[in-house]
Amino acid sequence: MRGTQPCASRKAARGGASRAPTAHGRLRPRLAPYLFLAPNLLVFGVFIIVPAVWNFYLSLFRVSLQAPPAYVGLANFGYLARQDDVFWHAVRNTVVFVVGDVLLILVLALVIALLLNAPIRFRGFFRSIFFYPVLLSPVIVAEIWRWVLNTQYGLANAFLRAVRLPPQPWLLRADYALDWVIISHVWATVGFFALILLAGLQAIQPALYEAAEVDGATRWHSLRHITLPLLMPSVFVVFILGTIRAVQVFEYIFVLTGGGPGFATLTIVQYIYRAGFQLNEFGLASAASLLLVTVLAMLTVLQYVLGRMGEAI
Amino acid sequence: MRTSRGLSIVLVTIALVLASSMAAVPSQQVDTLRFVWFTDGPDLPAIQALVDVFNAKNPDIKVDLSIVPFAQLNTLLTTQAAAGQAPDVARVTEPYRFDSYALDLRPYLQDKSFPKAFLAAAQVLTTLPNGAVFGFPSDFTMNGPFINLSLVQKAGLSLPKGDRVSWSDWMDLAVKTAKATGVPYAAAVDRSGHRLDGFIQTMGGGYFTPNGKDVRINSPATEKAINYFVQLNKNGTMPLEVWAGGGAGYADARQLFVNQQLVFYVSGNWQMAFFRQAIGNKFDWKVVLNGCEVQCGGMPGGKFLIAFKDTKAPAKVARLMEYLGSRASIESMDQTAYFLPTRNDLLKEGVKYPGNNDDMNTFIKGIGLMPKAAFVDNYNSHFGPIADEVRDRVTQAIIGELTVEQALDRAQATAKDLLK
Repeated sequence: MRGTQPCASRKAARGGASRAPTAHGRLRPRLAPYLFLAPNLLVFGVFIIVPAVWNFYLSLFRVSLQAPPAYVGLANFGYLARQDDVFWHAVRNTVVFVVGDVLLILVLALVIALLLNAPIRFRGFFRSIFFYPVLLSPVIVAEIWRWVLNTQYGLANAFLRAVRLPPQPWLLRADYALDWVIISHVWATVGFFALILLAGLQAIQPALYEAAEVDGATRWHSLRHITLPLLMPSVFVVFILGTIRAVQVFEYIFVLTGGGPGFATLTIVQYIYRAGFQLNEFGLASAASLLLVTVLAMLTVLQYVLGRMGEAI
Repeated sequence: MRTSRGLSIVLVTIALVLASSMAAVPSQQVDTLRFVWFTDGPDLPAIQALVDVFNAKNPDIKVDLSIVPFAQLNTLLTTQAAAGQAPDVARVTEPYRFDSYALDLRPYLQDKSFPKAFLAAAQVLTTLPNGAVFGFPSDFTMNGPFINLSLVQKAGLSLPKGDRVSWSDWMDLAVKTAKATGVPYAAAVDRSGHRLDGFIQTMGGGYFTPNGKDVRINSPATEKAINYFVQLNKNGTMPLEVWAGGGAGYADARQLFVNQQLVFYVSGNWQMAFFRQAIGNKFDWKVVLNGCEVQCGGMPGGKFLIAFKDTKAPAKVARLMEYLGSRASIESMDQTAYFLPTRNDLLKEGVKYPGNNDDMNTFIKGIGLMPKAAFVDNYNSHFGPIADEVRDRVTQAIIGELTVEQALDRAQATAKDLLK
């Protein structure tokens, strides 16, 4: 009984009079959450908010090698929209990359997760195998694929020569270089997403499948009416995470193709890098990065809204 | 008595310890100078040796030499400089990119005539409009082709005679040699807007107008040269790996040449020392003159040592710069790394190389044959970004994303914008 005695009663029991809290006392509980958040907010402010504001400021200027920065208003955005074909090349490549990458990841991650969830032999081994590329640095993965797809001494062409087929310029042709970039990127990342779906699959109650089986449902029926609907929250997470990662991709393509041949695999992030560090057009690079931030912010809001809708359901 | 003697011993001991510890305190502050260098290979031991000697002679300075890849040099230095973290000294090819971060060395130089010791046309790139001197040209470079003599001889062919051999003659020889010997590639040019400009110059084209104030990238002469170059890439004379597969920036083909997969390679004198080491006695090779069409080709270039204003020890930076730019240092560097000299005294008297003097003389001969426009282009302070733009647009033409005409029109438009 004593153990559950309210604090005020305990004070009263000890003979202390119950006093109204002071202004200082009232303020402390209100301030506490902000004090706890302060270090994080400080880091976030210094490394995200301040650079973002500075980036916006820079996007309004023309920056060149010799002359001091000149205010140009929204001219950099206008140049991107109307004149810069490389920017639109990058936008188109980014859209193709994101759609191709995310679709392939969704399908393959689902298939892999279903296979790894089934009672097969060496299941642990296969789970490790599929996850292994995720542990590698994107630079290493890109270097491996550069070697595999090298026209002269690559593994892919060695195989073709072995079966008496002509070698192919895999990464040197504008029409299919981006396809190979997508395929190799999916290879490198699908294990991570398969793991998320696998966790989702393991959360589904086995009793549901047993009940369906008793009712005469086939495997296809179970997949369509039990697995897929219950896996949708995980699929959604994979979709959003995959999309954000695909939009942001840089180092992988930078090492694998450098955005080439020509601009065939140039994405928006690489465009920003090129504008800033090769052409020294930092105003233009800032404007393009702001557009990228806008797209990413929209994706994040979408994730949040749909996530809340999912919770409501 | 005994007590006072003991006390004396203790006091003397303390005095000796204090005296010795005071002697151990350095009389001067040691400053570490960060020195960023990109290497073509054999120049690395040469610069390391110079730095070691400097460190030994200057106990108040510790020069910390760090090596970065050339392809990342501008990105790294621009980022570091913008963040106030620039090194004290760096080796660069486009000093004008760092004008805003330049340290004016003039107040700290012991020898006030130091900047005048160098080739004036090159020294101007490390001199700001207000007269501030922030570095010096450390080596002069000259573009030129290398040819695999052993393969030519194996094919039963011989080199064309005379100083005015056309590009098409060189390409014919390279193609015939490659076919006869089974070598996969006849010719290659580094993926570089600088190397490409040398090629364009021979056809009477170029990037800049003679006064350097405007661009002429889509002029008929430049277009003719690029059409020829693109064709060489499309018809398999040149490997797609270098230009189409060269990634986002510079790419060379020197390993193809060393591996005897390439007959004719257009690069420059900075490859000399590397080829001497990497090829050795495996096969015979030779430097030949650039092709001549409307005029003879070639492109000057060079590397510069520049100082950054964020340094905490400007006087010591100046001391290092004067040492690295001294006649002895430059001569030693040139001899080891097969660089061409930038000091007026060495240009006048010449540098004796330990071997391949004929090849070095071919590069030097090429300097005299170069058109004036080559100097106008190379020493324009917008050359770097514009050369990068042309390189990327020409790659688009090679892979068929654009026609040559479209590629050059777009490069011209971007270049005009960069000049504003």
